[in-house]
Amino acid sequence: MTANVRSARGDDLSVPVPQELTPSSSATEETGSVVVTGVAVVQVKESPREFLRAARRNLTGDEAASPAGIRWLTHDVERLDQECAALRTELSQLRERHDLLQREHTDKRIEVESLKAKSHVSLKTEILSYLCISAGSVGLGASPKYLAIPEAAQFAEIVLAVSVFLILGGIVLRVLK
Amino acid sequence: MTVEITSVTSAGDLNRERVVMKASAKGNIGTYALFQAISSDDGLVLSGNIPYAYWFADKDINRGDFIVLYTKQGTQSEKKNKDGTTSHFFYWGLSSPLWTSGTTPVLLSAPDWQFGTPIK
Repeated sequence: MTANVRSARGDDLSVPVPQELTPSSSATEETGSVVVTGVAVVQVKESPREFLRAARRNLTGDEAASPAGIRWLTHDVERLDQECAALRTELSQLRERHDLLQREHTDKRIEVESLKAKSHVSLKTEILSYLCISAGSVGLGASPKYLAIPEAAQFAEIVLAVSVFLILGGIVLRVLK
Repeated sequence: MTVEITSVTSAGDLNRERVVMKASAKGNIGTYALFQAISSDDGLVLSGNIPYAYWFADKDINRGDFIVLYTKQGTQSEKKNKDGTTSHFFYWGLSSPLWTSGTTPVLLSAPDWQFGTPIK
């Protein structure tokens, strides 16, 4: 009988269970076990370094002044210095990242505002272009009728010229928007 | 790792379902955690979401000792075996069986850890 367990690395951890340790064996069954007194169902875990912290707090002046005490405290100071340096580096990196993100945010806001302004101008140009082409088309459509009338021919020529100008203007506006 | 999983016994039967581990050296079972991990199709285990985890309480164990983690509720207990070893019984405190098809027990050795700030 084996426990079919594999590690994340794929190592086979299957362990043959000796005959005397099969499920029917009493060694792995709770029957006959004695409750461990003074142990709560949920135990409060402390940090692996907690015992050192307690020991440091309980150091007497003489103990702290002894060579071993000085070595220990010096080592602890060095450890804290290293931690402090590592945290400073991390803080500096985070600040740089924050600055970069803030700059990027400002750039994006400028870009958005610029696009908004452009879109506003673009709408005005669109309306103007539409009006020019519409008016030009009306003039272009109506002028041939008036060209046939001798009294209105001169006026029709002007309307025709203005209409052509308006249509060209409208097209140019649409292209350049 | 000085503790190894030897078997999952009586899977599906809440009253008897347990993971049996054995210590190969003296140590503290409080530096181990057991995961109920999801099995992958190729027989390995998936990282990421771990549905259930059990972090053992601090307790000294000796070479040859058994560590038995029951799925059900119960109070931590122990018993001496004929060969001089001790069986240590822990209880997950769940109300339904844990070891169903597609799950794999993973024993994690965690000799060091760090607390974050408690969320208020």
